[in-house]
Amino acid sequence: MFPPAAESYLTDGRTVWSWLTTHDHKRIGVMFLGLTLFFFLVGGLFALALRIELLTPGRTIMGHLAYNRMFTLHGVTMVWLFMIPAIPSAFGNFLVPLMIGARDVAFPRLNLASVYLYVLGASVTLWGMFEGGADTGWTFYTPYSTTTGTAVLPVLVGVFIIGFSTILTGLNFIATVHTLRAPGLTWMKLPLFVWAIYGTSIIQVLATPVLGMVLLLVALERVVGAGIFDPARGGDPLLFQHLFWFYSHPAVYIMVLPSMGVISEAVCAFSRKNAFSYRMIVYSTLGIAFVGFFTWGHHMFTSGQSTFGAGAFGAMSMLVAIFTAIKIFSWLGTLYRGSIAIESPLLYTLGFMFFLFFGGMIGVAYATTSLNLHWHDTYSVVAHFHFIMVGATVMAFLGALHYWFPKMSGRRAPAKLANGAAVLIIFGFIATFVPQFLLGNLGMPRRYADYPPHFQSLHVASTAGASLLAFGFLIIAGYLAWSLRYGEVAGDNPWGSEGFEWRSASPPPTHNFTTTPEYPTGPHEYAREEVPHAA
Amino acid sequence: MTDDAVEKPERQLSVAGVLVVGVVLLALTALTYGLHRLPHGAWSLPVALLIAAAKGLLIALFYMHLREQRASNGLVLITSVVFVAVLLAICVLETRTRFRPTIPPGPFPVEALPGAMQDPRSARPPEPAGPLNP
Amino acid sequence: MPPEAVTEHWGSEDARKQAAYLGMWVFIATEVLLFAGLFTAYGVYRSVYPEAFRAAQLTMEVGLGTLNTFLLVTSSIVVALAVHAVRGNRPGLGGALLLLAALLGVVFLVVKGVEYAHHVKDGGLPGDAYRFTEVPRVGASLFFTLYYLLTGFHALHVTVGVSVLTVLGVRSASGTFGPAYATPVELGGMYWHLVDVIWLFVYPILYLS
Repeated sequence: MFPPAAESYLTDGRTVWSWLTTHDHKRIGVMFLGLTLFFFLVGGLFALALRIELLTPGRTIMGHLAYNRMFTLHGVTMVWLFMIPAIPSAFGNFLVPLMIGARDVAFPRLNLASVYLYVLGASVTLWGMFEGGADTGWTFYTPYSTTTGTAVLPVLVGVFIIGFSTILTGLNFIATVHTLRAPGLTWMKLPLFVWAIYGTSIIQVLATPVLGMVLLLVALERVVGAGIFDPARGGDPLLFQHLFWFYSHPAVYIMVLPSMGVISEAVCAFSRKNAFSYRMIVYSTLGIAFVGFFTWGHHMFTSGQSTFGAGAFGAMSMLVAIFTAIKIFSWLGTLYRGSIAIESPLLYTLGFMFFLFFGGMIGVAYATTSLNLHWHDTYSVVAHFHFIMVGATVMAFLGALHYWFPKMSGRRAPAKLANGAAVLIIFGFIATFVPQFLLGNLGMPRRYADYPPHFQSLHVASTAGASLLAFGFLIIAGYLAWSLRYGEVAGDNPWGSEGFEWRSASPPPTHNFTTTPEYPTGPHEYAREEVPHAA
Repeated sequence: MTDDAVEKPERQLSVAGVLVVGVVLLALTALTYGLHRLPHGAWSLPVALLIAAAKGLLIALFYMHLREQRASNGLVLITSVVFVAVLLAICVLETRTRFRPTIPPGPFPVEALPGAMQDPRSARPPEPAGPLNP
Repeated sequence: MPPEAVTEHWGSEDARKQAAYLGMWVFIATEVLLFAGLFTAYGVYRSVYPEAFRAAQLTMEVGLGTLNTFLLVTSSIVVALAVHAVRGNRPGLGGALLLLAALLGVVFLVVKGVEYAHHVKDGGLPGDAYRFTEVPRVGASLFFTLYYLLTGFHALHVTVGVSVLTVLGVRSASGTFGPAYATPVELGGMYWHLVDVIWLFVYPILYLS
């Protein structure tokens, strides 16, 4: 079934039990990949239901309460069950030890525990969905979340448990990068993906506990009436928003930083060039991780926070654009006069760069408090953060999936089909979310199941785009599943990449390397000799 | 022994050293309590927190062996403390600079949300809360 | 000595130790950030209701709080001595000291329980259950809620710490650890010190000033 070549991590024990009790970072990465893909499907189905409801004004397929539950579950699933773990836990687990020449992550048992915590948290959340689901939105704003009669509690508890999984993964990566680098692999030789995962881990470790505490406070308020955020007892709902966004804004960078790492790898591999200004990419990664903690108030411009706070948060938010711009220019500089191969990962990379640039620049406009008043809580904002979360993160996720599919499975996906699907996804995405910018600017508020008839044409366009996206995902799922079994055998390095992870066999053996790898040069070192593109 | 060693045994405390640090910790605790017994004003909180921070630093350096370990471990601790300070300082600053009526409990009596009919707790009678601002 | 396979996984004994310390420090950082949310809530509400917080604070039993502070600081010293003993190849003494520290932790919890009982009698309860007539409800009820949250989460950590110290003490007394392999004792000790340090900050803001 898998390439007959040598023993690999896939053939080392074929029973289900050997997977469930594995300590192998590669198997754990693959399990996370499977789980996150499943929840991507679930969240996507919720999204599709939302888009179908919005096809016509008035009731299309569901009532208002069902719609509220649906968008809450879409948000919760996509944020905590898919996007947060998607790249760090799945690809990070698989690749970081390979990239730093280690046998495994620092704490393999904790790593396995993080899978089970994720499964437990996801199950509790799913149970909450079957109980009727919360209708608060994924942000659980008080006082609504402490008073609504829907099943908020299981969702809170589920997300709380998933937080532990995130923390364990982050802790593991920090310890791994610090202590398990192969001899000779210094910090400034680390692949950019490793740097990105390292920056992400710092955010995960610092921010997630605050989310845990604030969710616990909301849960306590529901169960025993703790009253921390209850205005009737003098509590301040804005404090909830502060604590929540102290996690949830950096969480955006938990989603985007790993994507940037993927893009840094792919850009070098498919333009056959060294990273343009490696150091600046590294420093901007750390810069984003740091500044990301000072911007949370831009989610609260209309909430009644102080003018001083809003101004400071707005200015800090704009700083993030500088670091992001450094990265975008570095990638462009890498592509410039490179030997470019049009492969599906590169197509997703280009899509990523365009969407990140577009969504990011609009983000700068949103960070100005005056403009924000017009756009706040409209479809504009929905479109903006989907540009970052879908346009950037999902593109990078798909790029990573295609780039490292041969590494993980030993087989290649059909190239032409993959390129076609990538183009379809990119255009489907544009068709879905550009109309939402226009809708928001015209004044369509978010989180409503109903709308006046004159918005319908744009809603129909958006729904049409969403179906195009769904169709694209279906094609990808189809050919990837097919390739797992029947795809062309890839060989060790099908892309001809100089990334460190390609130095071991594909798929890698259980202990990753048969000899101790050496690192005379930095990562993405293409200057040494002409490496032809693989046919 | 290079600077980068995982452990620097020559920096380990002797039993006497452990006890000296312990006595200092107990003395600082007594000092905190003693200062509390004296008449105190606006500075009492910062001073008490400063003493607590000094004790925490002693414990981290000597009892948690930071002094014997690599700088990266200390960096982790510093980072966490910095971010606690960021969260606390920004939230308090924001509250202090807020437009007066938006500071809790606010100028109006609080009423139950219209959506919260099933929940018995939300049926509690609205009571006039806090300073009565026009 | 740790088993052979572990050394192979790490590559060197140094890497194993450093990963253990660093991992523990990162874990401690997450604990600190966990409490940060509560400290922030305290700071914000104290700045909004200075008088109510002051009034509520004056009803705290400073004596019991101070006693508890001394208990925890003493237990921290004992744990530091225990780590020293284990590193110096006296695991029996180390185990005994760890168990002593755990005992001090239990006493701490008992004192805390007595305090809680007094509050329950007065009606100084969190949230909805607040019945304390001596201090105004708005603001003071928040103080008591935060009091229960801070001390409650801390007591939870003390309970975990007592269990950890007990297990380590018994294992150390039976000779599992020594100069070559003291990591679990060191990490368990670090956890206990963390619990102590958090209390050092909880104590002044709730009881003193």
